[in-house]
Amino acid sequence: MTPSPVAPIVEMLGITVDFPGMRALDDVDFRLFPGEVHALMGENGAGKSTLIGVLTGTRRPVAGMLLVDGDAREFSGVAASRAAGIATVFQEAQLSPNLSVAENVMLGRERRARFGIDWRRTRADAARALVRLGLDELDPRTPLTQLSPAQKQLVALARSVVDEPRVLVLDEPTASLDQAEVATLMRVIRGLRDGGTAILFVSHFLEQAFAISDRMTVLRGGTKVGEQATRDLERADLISQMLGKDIEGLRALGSERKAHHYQTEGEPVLRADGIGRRGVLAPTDVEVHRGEIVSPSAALRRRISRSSESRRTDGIIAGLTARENILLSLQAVRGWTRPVSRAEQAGLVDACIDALHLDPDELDRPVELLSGGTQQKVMLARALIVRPHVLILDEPTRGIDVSAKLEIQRRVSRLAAEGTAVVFISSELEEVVRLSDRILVLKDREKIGELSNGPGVTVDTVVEMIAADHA
Amino acid sequence: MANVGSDKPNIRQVATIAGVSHMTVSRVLNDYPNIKPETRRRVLEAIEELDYRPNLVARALATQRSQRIGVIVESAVAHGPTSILRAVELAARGAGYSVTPVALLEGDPLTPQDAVDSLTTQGVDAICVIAPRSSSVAALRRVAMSVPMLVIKADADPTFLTVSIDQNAGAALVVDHLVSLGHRDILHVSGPLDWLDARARERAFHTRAKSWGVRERPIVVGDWSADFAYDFAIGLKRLPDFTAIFAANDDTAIGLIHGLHERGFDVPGDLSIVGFDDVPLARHFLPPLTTVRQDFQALGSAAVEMLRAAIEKREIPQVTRIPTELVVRESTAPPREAR
Repeated sequence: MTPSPVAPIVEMLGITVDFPGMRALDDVDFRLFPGEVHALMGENGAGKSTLIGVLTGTRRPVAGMLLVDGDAREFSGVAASRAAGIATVFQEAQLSPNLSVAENVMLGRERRARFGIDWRRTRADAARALVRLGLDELDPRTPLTQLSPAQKQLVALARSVVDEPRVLVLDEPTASLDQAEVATLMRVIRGLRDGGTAILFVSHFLEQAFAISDRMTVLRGGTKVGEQATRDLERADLISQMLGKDIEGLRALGSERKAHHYQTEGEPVLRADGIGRRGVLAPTDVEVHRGEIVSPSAALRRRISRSSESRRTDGIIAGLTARENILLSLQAVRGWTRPVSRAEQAGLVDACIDALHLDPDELDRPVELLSGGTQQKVMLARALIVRPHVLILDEPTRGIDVSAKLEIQRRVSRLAAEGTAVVFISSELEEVVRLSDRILVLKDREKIGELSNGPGVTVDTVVEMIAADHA
Repeated sequence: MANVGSDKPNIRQVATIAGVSHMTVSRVLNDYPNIKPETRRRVLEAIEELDYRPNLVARALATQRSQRIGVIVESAVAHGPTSILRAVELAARGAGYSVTPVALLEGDPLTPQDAVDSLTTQGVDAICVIAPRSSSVAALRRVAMSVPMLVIKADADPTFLTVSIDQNAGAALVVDHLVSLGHRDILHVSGPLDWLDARARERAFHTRAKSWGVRERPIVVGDWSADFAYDFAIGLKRLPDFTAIFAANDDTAIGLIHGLHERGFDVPGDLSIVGFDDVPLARHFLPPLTTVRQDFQALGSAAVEMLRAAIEKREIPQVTRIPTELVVRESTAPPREAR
């Protein structure tokens, strides 16, 4: 499919969007042609949602132009973008459970008769929309509550296409669907595309994007890093575009493991069988042994087993000093009735200062005034002070400078050498390959393999394993 | 003009003897369809009688074909690519084509586009690319082509005409063999995963082992060499829990057996080992190696058959996967607990 001789429906030129304190999109060009599925790719925070926001009228760019059929437009809101023929698929949550399929599809667009709503015509139009999507098996009179999540998703889609939009935005449309349901949705999407609709498709599932899209635009850190025909794109190239390392650079970054740490001692200290969550992670077994650093890693890793609740309770507590933040965990383990003596406190905190190269003068300042790197070290110190058998570190080096990063990495290595089992979660593959003994490779929310880290492993190895997994 | 007064028979003499026009002779020589068998027979007899040899350059001018296939081969020092190149060359020769090879080495300033350009200037009829690594394929996508191209690579591809030995089936044969002996804990020592064969074998191993309920364990990524495998084996602290190793190639398998032997472990008594390739030495190693035979000859013939069809604009035969064969020798046995 070469759309070039055809004029684009939507053209975005030099789109720049600012959020307080940061630039969310920087000078991004984007084109959408009739009769194509265009996948918008990028890691979390790359700017995909912001770009969709500009297209659907919920975000105002500070610079750049949005053209529809060659005319410059500025959308004041969703209604304006809808009027220009750009539709977003409602999430199933926005449907009304106590209405029928037809009522949901036609909500807000009920056909009028002289006295109130012409239900027959409304139902007929709804049925037509369903037939157009190849969903004729769905009775328009069925109450929504009787439908499966996938069927609801399709009703939401029908509601979006009832006015025959020229552009359809599908943001993570498959997140809660199983494989058969995804296949149905894909069939519907292809049908719409073949009818000339331009479809903007966003998914964390790499393989779905490869299966359905004709073209891909890749965003990274708010800028556009590539636009290419899907059939000409190598998976490994896509992944490296998304990660921001060119593939040659990746090949050079080798493991620092000179030998395999293959034979672990004794029983695993942490064992999770079949952990998973519908739509987030397929059931996965994880085992961690003494003295081992294990990294779940993937180009498209989503949060793994750590819930947002624990993230909040594990976070630093503003208003307390760094010292108090560190001692918090020990106090929690001891119980609040047995205070930690001053002498013991001093000894422990001194050990942390030593181990993590913390600046003693900073320890008595409120923790929120310290740099990101120091805050991360405070968190690590808090985790270490209770001498854990298992340490789960979720992005312990995100957003801190290189020297602080190296120090934390060194400390983690030492801990493992002393026998602690470490689960090290990082979106930086270099760090994973440098540090871990074992790498769990995740793709499209599923564990696809495990690597024993050693002299033959590079960042590229992980990328290639992800790329190879599509047979 | 060259033939005037020369002793060499020419196409007009063939035509006279066969009682047909010289165009008909030409059509017979070029295998055109719709020629009466009787006419074809008469022409061939006349050719034999006169000992006529068509002038290849003249023939190229007449048909715009050079009867030459360009072969671009990357990593030409490795066993797989070298064997494939040889097989393609032999098959091409058998089909009346000559082969012009271009080798690309790692860090070579010669790009795939340069190689394609140089071959097309030399007037090849088609190009066959032996692309062992994912980077080789990535580079090809950006190459502009004026003649048919076939890529020999381990996975099918929407962009290119491809053919390969069925790596997936080969790896599945290995897993099935080990499982049928009773093994439920198998280590895979793979090749570098940017090699398409290595990752195809690894993925197939992963899928097949999982389907049998074999214990899932981290793979060890090797570099195809016996040295790497030897180092890994002598680094084992004790007899490992796994009872078998699927090595991604024979060199790796041989290095493993050497290292295990030095650590005092017996193959196949303590550990079963399977390789992949069936190199000529595999059957003479101690113990003789159980391995997967890759039929490079069949691959070469299929490649040339597809290229000819593409050149002659015929329907291209859809033999894109060449089957493999498991060769069971003495490096595999039931697991130690079972005996």
